[in-house]
Amino acid sequence: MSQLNKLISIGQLSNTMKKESSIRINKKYLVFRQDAEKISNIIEKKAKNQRSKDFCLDFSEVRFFSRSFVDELLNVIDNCKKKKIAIRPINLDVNLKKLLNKVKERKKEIKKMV
Amino acid sequence: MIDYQKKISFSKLDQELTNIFKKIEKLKLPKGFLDFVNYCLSELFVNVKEHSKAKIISVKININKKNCLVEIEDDGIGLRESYLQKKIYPKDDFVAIEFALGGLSTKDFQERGFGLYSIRKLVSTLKGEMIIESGFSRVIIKENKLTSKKISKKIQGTKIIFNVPIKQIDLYRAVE
Repeated sequence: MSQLNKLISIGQLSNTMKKESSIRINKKYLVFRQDAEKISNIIEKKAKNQRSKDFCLDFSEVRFFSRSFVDELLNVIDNCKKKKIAIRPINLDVNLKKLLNKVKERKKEIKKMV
Repeated sequence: MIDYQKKISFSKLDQELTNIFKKIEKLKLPKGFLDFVNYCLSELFVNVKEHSKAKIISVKININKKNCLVEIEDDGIGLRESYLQKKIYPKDDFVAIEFALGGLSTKDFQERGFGLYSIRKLVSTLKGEMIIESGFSRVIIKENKLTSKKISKKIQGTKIIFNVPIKQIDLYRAVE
């Protein structure tokens, strides 16, 4: 449990339209796929125990994430979507947003090619 | 400046990479260069974690006023064996290095291996030099030219070295 707390902390975010669970990532550097998998496990567990299936992932504490982490995070978002769980990344640094968008575009292109 | 040298056990990779990031973050570097170093280190550490089956990883990082040298060597299975285990058949170590530099992933046919492929591109953008050694082969990339050499003493795993001048770079424009 303490390891999970190091990675994330959970709160509520009220939106005018809907209630989202806010998950703040406490780690500054996210490099390996395992970090994305841990986030996925936490979200799925939480989604089972509550009505709202909407989550926002708060990256305000994150200084850097790797291409592998992003790749896995996008897989997690995709898989959760299939289970009707919505994950919305928020408070991303400008450069991290650029990398996220690059990886997203690349994944789309590779899917098209296949 | 930084003169870092350490042998890291596989289980401590994550923790030690965080320590390295913290050290580098304290340096005053030109715009984008910190992103470049972080990006390359993360790609190399991910490669070790996902493919190498290594036990010990030797890491050397030297950053002075003008240059940045990174050297990462693992005692794992090497590039060729990593491909062979995924039923991809490079005929020798040199071809395995070429596959990796070309972005051929061992993970899935639907994926692409961006690790060495993107580092090569970034090092070339900075007009630096890169050396990859695995098995009995050494490949040197300088000024975008690739030269290969047979080496007499076998490298058990994979050794990657890059040396670049420290200057401004727009990393997020350069990566694909």
